[in-house]
Parts: sequence; C-alpha cells; structure tokens
Amino acid sequence: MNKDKWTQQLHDKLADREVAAPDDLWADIEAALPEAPKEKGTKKSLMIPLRRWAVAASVAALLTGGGYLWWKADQPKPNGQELAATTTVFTPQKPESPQPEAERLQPEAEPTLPELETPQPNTKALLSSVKPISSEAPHSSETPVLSDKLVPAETSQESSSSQASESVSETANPTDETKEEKSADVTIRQLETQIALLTPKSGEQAALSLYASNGLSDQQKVYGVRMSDEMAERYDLSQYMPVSGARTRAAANTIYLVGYEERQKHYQPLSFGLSVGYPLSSRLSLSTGLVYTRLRSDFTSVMNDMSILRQQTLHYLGIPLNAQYHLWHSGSLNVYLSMGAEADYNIKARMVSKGVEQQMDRDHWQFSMQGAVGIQYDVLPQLGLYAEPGVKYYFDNGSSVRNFFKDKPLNLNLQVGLRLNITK
Amino acid sequence: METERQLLDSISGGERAALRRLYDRYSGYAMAIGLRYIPDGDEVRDVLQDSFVKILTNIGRFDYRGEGSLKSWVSRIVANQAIDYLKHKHLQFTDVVPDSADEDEPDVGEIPPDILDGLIGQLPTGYRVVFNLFVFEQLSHREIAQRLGITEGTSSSQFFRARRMLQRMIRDYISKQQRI
Repeated sequence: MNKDKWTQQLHDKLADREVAAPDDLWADIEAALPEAPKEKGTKKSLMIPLRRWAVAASVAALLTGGGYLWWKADQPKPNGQELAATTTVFTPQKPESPQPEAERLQPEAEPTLPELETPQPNTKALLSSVKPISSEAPHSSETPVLSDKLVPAETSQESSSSQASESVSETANPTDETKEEKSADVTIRQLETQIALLTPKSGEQAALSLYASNGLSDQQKVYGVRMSDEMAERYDLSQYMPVSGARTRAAANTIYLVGYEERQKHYQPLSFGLSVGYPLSSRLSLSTGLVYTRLRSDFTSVMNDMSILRQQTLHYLGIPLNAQYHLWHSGSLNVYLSMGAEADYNIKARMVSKGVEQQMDRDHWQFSMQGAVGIQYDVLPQLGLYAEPGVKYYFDNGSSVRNFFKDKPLNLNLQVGLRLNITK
Repeated sequence: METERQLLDSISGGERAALRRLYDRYSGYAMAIGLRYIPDGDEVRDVLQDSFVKILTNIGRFDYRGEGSLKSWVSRIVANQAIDYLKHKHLQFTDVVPDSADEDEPDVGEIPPDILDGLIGQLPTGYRVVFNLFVFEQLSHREIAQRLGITEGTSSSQFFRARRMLQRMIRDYISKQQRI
C-alpha cells in the first residue's frame, strides 16, 4: 500500500483515538449476550458429538442386543428350533455373576441334554468336527482384535470386546474346572453353538442394524479468481496480445487476479443410521432404514494477505434401500454383496462467516447409488459386527449448493455397524 | 496491564467479568471507528451494540496472532458492521467535487483529533467509507473494490476526491481559526 505522507500522518494521528461510548451501551450488550458458560459449553459439545452419537448408538445397540438375549434367556427351551437362542443364554448371564456361574450352569445346561441325546448319531458324526472347534479357543479370543477394526468407536470396542472375551472365558472355564464330569456336556454345548451359528443363516432372519459411515478422504480444491469483465475492459489488453487486428475482449480471455484465490475444502461425509433387514430368500435380503449425514465444507476467499472463511454445514436425512446377496459364510464370518440406492433430504443448511450466520438455500433432494462388499462377524449368533467398504455415486441434483457430493460424485466409503439378527 | 492473551484466556476460562473488561478496553476505540463511518451518535450506537454482541459471542472463534490482533479484529468487525449498515441504507458513490489543481497539503499536526474526525464525518458517505477503509483499515483499492462491490478504479477515484475534499475542509478550518 503506497500511502502518501499526508495520509499516513492523518492515520497516525487518528488511528488509536478513543471516544467514550454511551454509558448505557454495556447494559444493552450484556442483555443481548447468551449465558457465557452455556455459550462455551455448547460450542464444544456441538463439534464432537456426532462421533459420540455413533458411540452412544453402538452402546445402545449392544445393550439392546444384551437385553434381547436376556429376554430370550428367560424363555423356556422347548425344542431344537430355539437352540440358537438357548445356547447363547450363557453369554449374557455371565457378566452378572462370574463366580457362581459355574454352579448355575449345570442345572441350566442339563435340560438341553435330553433333547440333544435323541439325535445321538448326528451328534457323534459332528463330534469330530467339533473337536477342532473347541481347541479353537483362540478363534473366539481373536474377537477383540477383529472388533477393534470393525467398531467405529472406542466405547463400543471396549464393551463388545469385553463381552466377547467374557463369553470366551465362559466356555473355557467349565471345560477346565469340571473336565471329567462335564466334557460331554461341554462338547454338546459347543455343538449347540455350532448349530446355532449355522441354522439362522438359512435366511429365516430379520436384522436390525445400527451403523456409522464415513467417506475415505477429504476433498480440497483451489480456484483462481477471475478479473471481472468490466475491470478487464479498463485495461487495454489488446496491446499485449500477439494476434493483430482482433480486438481482444476480456470476456474471451479469462484473466486471473494475482494474489486472489478461492480455496474449498470438503470434509468427508459422516453418517450414521438405523436399518432393518428383511430376508427374501436364503441368500437374498432387503434392507431399509433412516440415515443421518453431515457434510462440512470450508470456503476461503483469499485476497492478498486477507482471507475470509465461510463454513458450511449441511444436514441430511436419508432413506436407503439396499439388497444384500450372501456370498459365503464360515463359522461366524459372513461375506455378502450389497447394492442399492438412497434418497437424502437436506433438513438444514448453515453458512457461517466470521461467526455470523449467512442466509443459505437448502440443497435439493440428493439421490445416490451404492455398492459394497460386506463382511460380518457374529460375536454372538444374534449380534454381528460388520464392515462394508464400498463405492457410492451421487447424482447431480442441479442445485447451486457446493458440497462434497458435487465435487466428488463417485467416492469410496466405509460403513461399520452392529447388526442384531432376529430369529423368526 | 492485562495483555490480550491474558484477557482471552480469562474469557475462555469462563470468566464473565472478562467480557466486560474486553468491552471497557475497546469500546472507546470502537466508538471512534464507528463515528468515522457513521457520524450520527444514535445510529452508531446501534452499530456498536451489534458489533460487540458479535465480538463477544464469537470470541471463541477468534484466532489469536499476537498482541494487537484482538484490537484489529475489533476494528474490522466494527468497520464491517458500519459498512453493512450503510449499505443497507443504500450506500452511493458519487462525484461531488470537480477535479481541480492540487493545492498545498494542510498540516494536520496542530488540528485537534476530534475536529479531524468530525471533518471526515462530513465527507459524503461513499467518499468516507472508501477513505476510512484505505487509511485506517489499510485495505488496498483492490480489496476495497471487492468489499464494496465496486471497481478498483471507482475506489481509487473516490479516495482521491475524498482526500482532496478533506484537505479543502481542513484548510477552511485553519483559515477560520486564524481569523478568530
């Protein structure tokens, strides 16, 4: 800035001048201020909570899962069809009272024996395949490791892995303590577990899932700022142009302003939701639900050494419809393909610059298609952890709202969640 | 004296009284800035109130960059608020002073600051806004053009006409004083 001496002199004389503000001004300002601690609190809790919600939701799902199993535990165990529920009864009961459990186990396990004794030959045939499974104690002790990768949040990791590891010690303990007396009993229980893991996969299951999903990368771009046509007209550009004769119009030549740029950064979309699955056949199932997605973007206009940051937050509520095709399963592990579409409605749009909210139009309906490969690991027969790495394509909805979907319509995302299998 | 850092720490520590201290510290400075854009006391009061509500509710987002950065942030918010207020009242850029030959630059050293600010306040609105942004907010004509939605050329000519008009007013003031 080449300010002349006189102007500089004026600046120096007046720049730090003070004039007493009206006496009662503070009272009015204070009245307009929100409660200070509240202001501080909300700001912090607004930034982080989405991930926390996912954690809370996962914990809730775990509790629901536990509750469901608990409820199942109280049910009488009339026949082999209910086996899936009965065998796992041990697991949720364990955390309550680990010590007397061994004793309590006995009478509980007893009634299942006679029922299983009838298909003796079958049991024997299966026995050989059960042996390696029982020695596969590490198989279940691996659970925490796997769940570390699958569960989105620490809390649910802890609870799920602790639950899982407790269930491991549960099955392991009686084997050690009452080895001679209970070996047959234990083998049968393992057999039951095995059967339980296999039977529900026939498709006779509805599923309830809670999940969180993330895109895999942020999106960043820098644009130049064009000189306006009328400003470009002011400069006689034709003299610099090599083409003679042709009157150069600014409109035909884009001139970018030096020192000016517009940066935009789209943070990865964050979503979480609840879905319900319904089996159509043994391999095919349909699922739908409700999903919340949050998109955040930063737009920075840079003018030489000054920059203006505008932060945009978009909240969407969407309804997905997916078809799942089960490809393969082994033990507690399931692999499936998932394909479907989703419609998202922009429930809220917010643009904030320098702490001041600006007016902003909401986005139009956003439609997308998605495909994913899913891997599900059943911690319990009724409760699975799953991860679905996939591809999602967002159709251009024609709105002027700039967001992640417009900049990167095709992107990879990862959805992780808990699935509650409800045996019909 | 409490540094800006200490003041900000007290505010982020939830000390309600620190908000008042920020106001006490910068309200006089803000008032002077406000009056330079909007000479009317009642109007500038509203602008100041809105500015401080904005400052105090958004203080958590302020990016501290050394001593003095808070003061210049306050100044920027007051200036922006004043410009938005003037824009709302249809800020116009007109040429009211015919070009004339440059005369001597009057010496501002001996003139009381309140008189100088008063004279700046008498400039036509468009001149005043551009002049203040250039001289006190230290923006370039390019930045002013961007901020006000005018061309760089308009900003530049508004400034020079404002400067010339202000100099004439100062000369008139000086000659009046000499006659007394």
